[in-house]
Amino acid sequence: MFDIEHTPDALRITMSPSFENIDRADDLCAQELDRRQVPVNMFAVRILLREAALNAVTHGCREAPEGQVRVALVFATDEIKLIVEDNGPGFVWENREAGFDVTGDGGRGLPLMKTYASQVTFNEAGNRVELSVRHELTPPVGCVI
Amino acid sequence: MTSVTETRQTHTVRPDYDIVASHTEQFRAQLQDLISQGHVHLVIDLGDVKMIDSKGLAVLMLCHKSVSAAGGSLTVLTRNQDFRHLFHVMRMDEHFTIAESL
Repeated sequence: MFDIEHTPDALRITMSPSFENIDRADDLCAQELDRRQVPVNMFAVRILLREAALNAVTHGCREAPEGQVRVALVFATDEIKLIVEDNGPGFVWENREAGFDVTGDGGRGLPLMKTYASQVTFNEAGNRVELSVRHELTPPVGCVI
Repeated sequence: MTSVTETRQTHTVRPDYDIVASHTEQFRAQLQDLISQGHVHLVIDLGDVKMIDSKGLAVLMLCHKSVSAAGGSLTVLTRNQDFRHLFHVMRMDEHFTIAESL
């Protein structure tokens, strides 16, 4: 399953939990950001989408075929909101707050989210994350630096 | 597909796919093959790579640990400023060399 909904202010994707679908969602979101010419750090949005979706696929749905991941890219006035949600039981995000082992095999997802998002908010159950990326500031026309 | 070239003792690996979750098993296996053949001075050229995620970072770190344990070294080549920033904030550059070219 990979369903796409375009609205004036958002791109919404509902998909089965697989790594290949994360690639498709990433490609679609990159195309949409490009088409709308949104002034954000594209790499930041893409890596945030990938890390949040990876958590949903591997920890939330545990790659179970009946799992479902929803991705919403919402275009606000001065920022992008990326919302990733899964239908799994969730887990305790606070347990992952203690930092990560640089040389370890995992645990990089949350530090990456905190690095690239201006705000990271989890719901209480731990199966929904909302990430904000502010628009990059551009000098007004005529501004001399 | 990944191209592998050999110069003296150094093997350069140049994947032409993104180093993300959907490809990391393939990439890890290719690197492991080289290391198990005794090629422990590796250069990974990211010139054709457009995206890396946390799973890809984990494979690079695993590769670094494997070659270091065998007395070798890992160098990652990239001119991509987003990648260089990513390696820096994730402190990968404290463990292996990140360079623009050899």
